[in-house]
Amino acid sequence: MTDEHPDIERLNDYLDGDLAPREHREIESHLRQCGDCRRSLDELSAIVRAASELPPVAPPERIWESVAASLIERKSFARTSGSWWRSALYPALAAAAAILLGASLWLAMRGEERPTPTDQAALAEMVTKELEAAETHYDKAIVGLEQIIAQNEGVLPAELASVLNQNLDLIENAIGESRAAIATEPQSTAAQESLLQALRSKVTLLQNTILLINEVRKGQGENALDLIDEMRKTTDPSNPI
Amino acid sequence: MKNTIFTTILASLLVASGASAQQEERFNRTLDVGPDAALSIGNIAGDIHVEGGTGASIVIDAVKRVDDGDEELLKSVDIEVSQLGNRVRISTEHTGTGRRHKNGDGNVSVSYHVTVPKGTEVEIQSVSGSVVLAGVEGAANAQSVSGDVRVADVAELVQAKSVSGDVEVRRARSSRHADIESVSGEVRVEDIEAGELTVSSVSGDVLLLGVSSKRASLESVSGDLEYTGSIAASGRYEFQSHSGDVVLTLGDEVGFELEFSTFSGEIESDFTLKSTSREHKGKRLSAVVGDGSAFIEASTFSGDVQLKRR
Repeated sequence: MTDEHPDIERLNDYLDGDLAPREHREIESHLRQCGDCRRSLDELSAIVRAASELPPVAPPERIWESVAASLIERKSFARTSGSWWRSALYPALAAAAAILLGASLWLAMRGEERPTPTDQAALAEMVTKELEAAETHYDKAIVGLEQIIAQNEGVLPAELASVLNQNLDLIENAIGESRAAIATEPQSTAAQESLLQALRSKVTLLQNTILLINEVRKGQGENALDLIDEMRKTTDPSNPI
Repeated sequence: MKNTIFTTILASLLVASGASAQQEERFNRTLDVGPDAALSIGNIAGDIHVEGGTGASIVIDAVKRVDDGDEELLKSVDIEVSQLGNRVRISTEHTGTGRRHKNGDGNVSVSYHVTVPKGTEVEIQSVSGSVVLAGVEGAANAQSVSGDVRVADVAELVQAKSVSGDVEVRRARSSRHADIESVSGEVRVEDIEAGELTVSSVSGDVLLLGVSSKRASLESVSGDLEYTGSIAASGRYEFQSHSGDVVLTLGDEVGFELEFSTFSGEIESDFTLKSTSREHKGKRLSAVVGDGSAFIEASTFSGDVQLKRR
């Protein structure tokens, strides 16, 4: 028994403490002599840790709360070091990245022993679902962010807005190319990873754009919290986007 | 608020030269802070240069300028300096009304040259203007929206960022996580040692030379990624570009496991690889070099992935 590599589900059960004592001891014994499985267990642990810190897949409201907290924090002189144009958004990005991490780590969980065809089919299905969930997450966030930016059109200096728009177009092109590639080769990990990276880049850039808008508005003597209120209204679950 | 040892504001220097007169007003102040100070600077338009010195004071030399001779506009811009213990904040405040006063449209700018004790923690935020930060041992954080950012000889790099400018970092150390990025500019990093390193650009190239880090992540959407440096045993390295090439130049002191993928490009290697799998007509490669103790993942959609021997 200890020569057999446990599959991911059993490792997951082992990690969760859901195995019978005898089976638990068998896997423990196997892990002592199998570096590949120890690595898989470490990666699985990383996923579980990341998942435990995740908000729901739906765009988390705390994205906006952390933006607000950051902007309010900025009004204090004794603030801590951090980015004034995007750092507060990392919790949201981390959440999205954790979904990505989940998909990519499942993909990475391969040792010398190849999965059986059944495992491969299950893995492919799992990856497809993870990809769809991540896309849904990003797409919802993007719609909300774009709406906020549209409401504040003309606030940013034209030159800066042009730079941001050019880069957004570039990312949009990358998203389109990746989606087209996935349509022809659904299992292409390069296309999947490229799509997720492009979506993540778009969310990051839109979020940075909003923080820049807010900075400019503050510079023009307007109430910085107005924009935060707009953000909250736009992302209120009772106010469908 | 702690009293400053001395404050000197030099008389305004007005330079007039005909109809398109440029007016300048100089501002100088010295604040006694001790060796472990914290400085933050916020500026809307104008360059900022901060460097570590040998003294125990923060020395501010600033110049306010208007290009069109509008004295009223010049007077509407204040340099505010506040000190709380050893923490100092410098900010450019526009007291006039209207967009022209607020965002530099009226060609009013303030440039700063500040010398700080070497151990000072420095945070610089600029909207329009280049930023230079050099020779400090405290936490270093330099950001500009539309200017270039250059950081050199710092012992605790935290962030170096620009939206539309280039970012250059040389001879930097970071015991924790260093974050270096631009949206549309090129990012160039030479001689850096960091616990963890994140470097990215949306449309610019990302070039790293002489890197030592246990974890590194490089990203660009359309730019190339180049990494030349060492890798650490049990280190983890991730490279991802959509349309750019990924070029890794490594020594063979440490073995590594690699996962390379490209949708329409090529994968090339100078190393002898123990290939564990090659899928999708050679577009995905899993392999091991040496003892496989580090892990490298490189992915590009339409670019090539090249692994070169140093």
